[in-house]
Amino acid sequence: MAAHMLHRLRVVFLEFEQRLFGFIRGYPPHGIGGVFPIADTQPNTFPTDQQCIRDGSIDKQTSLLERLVGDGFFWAVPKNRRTVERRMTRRMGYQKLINSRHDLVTCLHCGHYHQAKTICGNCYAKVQAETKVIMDAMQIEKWEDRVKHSDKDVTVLYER
Amino acid sequence: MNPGPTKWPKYNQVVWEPQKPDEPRRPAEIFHHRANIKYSPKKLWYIASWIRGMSIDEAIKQLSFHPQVGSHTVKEILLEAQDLAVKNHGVEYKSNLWIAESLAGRSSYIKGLRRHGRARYGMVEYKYCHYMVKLQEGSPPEHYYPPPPNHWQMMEEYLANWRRRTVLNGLKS
Repeated sequence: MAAHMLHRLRVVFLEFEQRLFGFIRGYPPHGIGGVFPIADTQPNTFPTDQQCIRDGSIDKQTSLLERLVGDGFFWAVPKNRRTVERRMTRRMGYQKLINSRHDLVTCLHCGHYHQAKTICGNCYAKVQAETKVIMDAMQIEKWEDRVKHSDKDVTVLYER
Repeated sequence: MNPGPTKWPKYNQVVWEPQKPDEPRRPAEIFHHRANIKYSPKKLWYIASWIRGMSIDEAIKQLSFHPQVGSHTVKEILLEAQDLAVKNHGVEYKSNLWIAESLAGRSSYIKGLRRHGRARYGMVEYKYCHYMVKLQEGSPPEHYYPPPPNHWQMMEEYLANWRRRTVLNGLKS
């Protein structure tokens, strides 16, 4: 039933296109009294002619839009099924797998691992904690603000 | 909620018969898992397949520096498994373990709605997954998966295939 509906739609569309082009040309599709003002190489076969539909030759007629657009009314659609081999290669092939890192080194002070050419995270955390205690005592928010106390001498005292 | 893998934890209850003196020592196997992790199983598969065949120390080290969220979860599970290995399975050295099997499985998906513009709605899936790991005592093998054959092996395979041919309806030799 859906196929029949689509066929009817196509016939209607072809008919509309022929009428439209006839209007643009200046004479109706079948000519005036069967005579065409300009000699046409291809005589118009009006789509709603029952003979066309009974023959099946309606299906051979292509509208201008069909010729321009090509196969199908829908664009940007997959043409062929992607095989399972291609699907798996795309998802699980070497380009998608995780690669191990070779730039992880041991810290000489604490023994934790860290990215090479960067500070050890564990050591940095210790430094941060110490700095926070000093900053709380100096009552400053940022380490850069310590120079504001330059009028006073600040000594950090480490208690045993 | 989803009960999780049922067979995997049962592998821990397998009791082997005592080994004969001349048999090579059977390495300890520790099966551990975590069910219903709020993560996509497809994403977890990449992490699970990456750490297969690594020693446990190497796996924990690599996972610590991997940006994905799932790597943190897997690291926690590996540390749990390492702990259980020492406490319950008689493993002497906690570093003497390697990842023999590492699997990601699907758990239940919960469906929800989300609103788009112009009162259009779309379905959302909240994905849960299971992670299963088997630790084995010893050092990891050189190749977890069979490596591609070298030229000598390829030549031997080629010759073996040609020599394997038989003549149909021929004489028995």
